[in-house]
Parts: sequence; structure tokens; C-alpha cells
Amino acid sequence: MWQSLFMKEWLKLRWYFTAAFLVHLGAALKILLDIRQIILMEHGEMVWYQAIHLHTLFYGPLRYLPLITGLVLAAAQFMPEVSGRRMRISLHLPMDQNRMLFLCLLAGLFHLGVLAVLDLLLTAAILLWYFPHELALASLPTLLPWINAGFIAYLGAVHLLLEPSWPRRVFYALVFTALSSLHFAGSGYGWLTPALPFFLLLSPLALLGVLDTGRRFRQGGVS
Amino acid sequence: MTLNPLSRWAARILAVIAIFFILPALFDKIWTRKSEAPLVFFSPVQKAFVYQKSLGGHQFIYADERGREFDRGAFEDLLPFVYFRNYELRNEGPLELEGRIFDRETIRSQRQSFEIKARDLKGSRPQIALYPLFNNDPGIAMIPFPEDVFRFTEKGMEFINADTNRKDEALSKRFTESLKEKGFTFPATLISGNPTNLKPFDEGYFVKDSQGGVFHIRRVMDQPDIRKTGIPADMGILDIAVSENQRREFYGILITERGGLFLIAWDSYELIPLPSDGFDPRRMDVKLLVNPLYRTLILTGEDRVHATVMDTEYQPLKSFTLPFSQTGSGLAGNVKDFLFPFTLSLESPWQNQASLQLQKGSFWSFGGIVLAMILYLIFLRRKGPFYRNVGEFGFLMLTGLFGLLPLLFVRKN
Repeated sequence: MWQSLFMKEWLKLRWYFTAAFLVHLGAALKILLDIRQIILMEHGEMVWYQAIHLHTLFYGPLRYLPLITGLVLAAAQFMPEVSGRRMRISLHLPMDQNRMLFLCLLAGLFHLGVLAVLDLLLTAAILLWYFPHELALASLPTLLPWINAGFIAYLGAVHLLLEPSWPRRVFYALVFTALSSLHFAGSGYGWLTPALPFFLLLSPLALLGVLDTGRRFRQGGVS
Repeated sequence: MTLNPLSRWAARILAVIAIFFILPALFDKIWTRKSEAPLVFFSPVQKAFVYQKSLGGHQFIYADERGREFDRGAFEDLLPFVYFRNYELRNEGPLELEGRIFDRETIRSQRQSFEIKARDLKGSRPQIALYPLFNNDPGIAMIPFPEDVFRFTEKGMEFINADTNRKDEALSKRFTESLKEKGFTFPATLISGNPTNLKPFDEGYFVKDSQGGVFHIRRVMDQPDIRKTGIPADMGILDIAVSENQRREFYGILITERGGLFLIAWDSYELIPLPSDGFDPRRMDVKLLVNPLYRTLILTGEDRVHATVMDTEYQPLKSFTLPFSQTGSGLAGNVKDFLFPFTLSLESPWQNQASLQLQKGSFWSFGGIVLAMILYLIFLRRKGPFYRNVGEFGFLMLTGLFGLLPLLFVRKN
């Protein structure tokens, strides 16, 4: 049954995912052209100096992109279910409701993950072309918190969409906004690296946290 | 369905993380007045330490080591080597101290101020280990940026050209072989220098090899100029801060893991010990002030400034400790502790990188926790036997008043 479920999620997500894919490719292209332009305008060694010692990030366009993508994918996946309360029908299928919701979320996270891998690979490839490999390597721990913010935003948005009560929606909105904002603290490369294990723990917690909201949604907010 | 209670706890933990990161920071932004650490100097006029202490809100007190306060003008007059422009503006003629006359040029050429912040030391900030090695060419007045950067590998010193993004084989070979000739064992374990051309001249890098030996590496007319220093290999060097200064008395300050501070003497590489008792390199900033008569070492920690004045031979003459509080005491701090039994933050004054900090409250936090429990018992307690509330009660014991929010908003019904 899980294959059918994944197919259902893919049908909902495919156009949004394709659009997001193109936007992420566009962002990579912008990064490439930005670096190319600055290297043509300034001396290469000065651009390297900015990147290495002044901590200028040439992949800034990716900063909020995973977050926005997470919100869009969550809306694409769960808005139709919530607006017509169609998900209540799915939740009555002969499958454990937590498991079903979990699989839906995994489908969404998988799509987000594909875009994250695309971001990581393209950024590293562009940086490898213009800079020593150390800079490409340093982009990985710098991008990871932004990507995790995308996962948190996705799971937070699902929370909001499924939660039937307005006061709780507001509460979750504040909590997930705060959690996402933490991922953008500091500046330059690798600033958040020492706290990365802590950040990466937030996504599994948020994934687990959605399940009870799913139950509340199924029961229409009444226990 | 045991997963659903777990799910609620996961959401509550997330809410606690969000609340205890954001709200204490917001509280501090509005109510906590953070003041800078006091500035301590040694007055060659009074032969005593004097300081400028911030009271917050752009208010300062100026006092000496005995607590005698004075106004800003008097404070500046006690520090003629710092505020020598005042003398000039008042046309008071050259400064006379200890039987010597100091004109503007003497003061200017014999002054030096050198500050090392704990947050800038190795391991306290993210740093990609690629550096420009400036070329020393006596025929060129400025310091042009080299077209390459260097890295140390397991096998040698590599230069990568920024125009081609490829290794410069010839230059790399020259430097690697020269280093090997001088007895350098790869890889490097510490690379210290100033990777900027905003300095009067360039002294290259001090590099520690895998055996602990320290080498001074420069590039002169595009050729390696490498000298093995006599700095002992077993010192446990944490970092070396290099400072190119026209006085050319020392190359910089060497800091050991155990909190030792040494100047590296110009040319001879001899180590000049500085009075560093009680110095914690990870949690204290260092400042060395040099003037024609005295040297002052100032160590600034979280709650105290410790200053030692030395003669020109770096022999300690006198020291002074000034305690201070950056956040001030009083109502705001107590209210904050009452509201938040702990706080979370990512920033540390001693690190230039995220550092997950959990700070516990004080005795006042108990008040908040007790109030939270009373409110819980009145408004939120679940029906049935008390043991059903134990988990939530325990949660409040840790989180206090703001722990009520997750319990109120994340519940079964």
C-alpha cells in the first residue's frame, strides 16, 4: 500500500517539485554567474581572500531557499487534504494512521531531500571550479543548517495545516518560526558547525511531533 | 497508542527549545544593560593604575586603583602617552616624565598596543587553512597581494594559483625542499600570521611542524626565507598572534595551552615570559600596552580585569585586579532568573563560532518554578490520580513558568 501512497503524494507534488527543482537550478546558475562575474571584474586572489579570510559567502542565494521550498511543498501536499478535509478519508484506510501520516511526511521530506542534495552538489561543483577544494568542503556544514531549516519549516507548516484549533496554530507558528530562525544565526562559513548535531536532532523531533497533531486532525480537534 | 504521548512530548521539547532560546534573548534586549569591561591603564604620572568603568547608557566613571574618582579631563591627563594629542592642543610643550622629555615623535615611535581576543584564537573560530604568503620585495613600497595561496599537506607546502586554480608546482617544490632542508616535518600543526596587507610590512608566518618545532616562513623576492626558531617543541603552543609593528621589538605573542604568555623577541626568537598567573586562554582576552617607560599586560575575563605593569625589560613592578559585572545585578537579573530557570543561546563572548550554551538560573528560579506548579495545579491538572500528572509536574520543575505554555498548547484534547 505504501507504493500507492507514495504515488498519491507524487501526483500532488510533481508540478510544485518540478517548479522548485527549476528554481533551485536557477539559484545555482545565479551563484555560478555571480562568481564568474566577480572573478572577471576583480583579481582572482582578492576574491579568494574575500571567501577565505573575510568569510564572504558566494552561495548566499541558497540561504532561505530550502525554507521557502519546505513551506511550498508542505502547502502543496497538505492544503488539498485539509481544505476538503479529504485526509480524514485517507486516515480511515486500513492502515495505522500514524504510519500513514509518517509515510506522507517521508514522501515530502524525500522531495525536499532531493533538492537539498542538488543544492549541495551543485554548490560544491561550482566552488571546486573556481576555488580550492577546502572552500567546497566548507560549504557543506554551512549549507546543512539552511537545509535543516527547510525540513523544520516543512514539518512546522504541516503542523499548522493539520492543527484544528486556532490558538494552537498560532503557538506552533511561533515555535516553528523561532526554531527555523535559529538556523540562520551567525555569518560566514561554518559558524554553526559546532552546534550542527543539536540542529540535526530537531528534525526527527519535529517529525515525531506532527503525529499527534495528525490524530487531532482526524478527530476534528475533539478527543 | 504509545506513539501519540511521545509525539506530544516531542512537540513540547521543541517548544521549550524555541521558548528558552528566543524569550531570554528578547528579555535581555529590552531590560538587560550589558556594559563593556573596564579599561585599565597604568598612569606614569601617578604611578598607579587608573580605569574607566562603564555604568551603561554612555555613563562612565574614571577612578584610580584606590577608588578615587575624577573627571574625564583629569583621567586623560594621567595618561599622557595615550592622550598625548591633548598636550599638543594645549600647547604645553613636550612632556616631561621621570626626568626625560618626550616629544610627539618619540611617543609615536615607542608606543604599541596589541590585543588578542580569546574568540580569535585557533579552534575558537572557523578558518579555512589557506593563506596568502606576501612577497617581500624591497623595491616595492606597498605589499601587493600574491596571486596564490598556500596550504600545508602531509607531504609538503603547496601553492595554488588563483588565476588557474591549480597548484604552482615550481613554487611548491621550492618551499617544500627548503623546509625539508631546515628540518621541517610535515604536516604543519599550526599556521599563524596576518593574512592581510593592511600592515606596515610583512613578517610571513610562524608554522609549527608535526614534531612541535616552530619555523618562521617568509617569501623574499619570491624565494623561501625559512628560519627554524629555537622555541621549545614541548611548550604545548595553543596559538601565536603575530603583529608587524615598526618598533620591531617582538614578532608577536605565543600562548600556551596552559595559559603561558611569551613574547617572541625580534631576530633572536627568544621567549620573554609575561606575568600570566591565572590566565585562561579560552576565556580571557589579552592586551599589551607599550609606551616609552612601561609595559602593561591586561588580562580581561568574565568578571575581572587583571593588569600588571612591567619595566621596559618586562620585569613585573606592580599588579591590580578590578572586579566587575557585565550585566549588573539588581531587579532585571532576578526577574529573568524567576522567569527562566535556564536559558539557551548559541553565542559565547569567547568564541567566534556557535557554541551551544545552557545557563542555569539562580535561587530566584525556584520562585518561578513554585508559582508555575501552583498555576498548574489550579488550571491544568488532569483529572484522576496524581501519578498521571507526574511527567508534566517534573517538566515544570525544569522549565518553570514558561513550561506552562507547551503544557497548555500541546495536550491530548
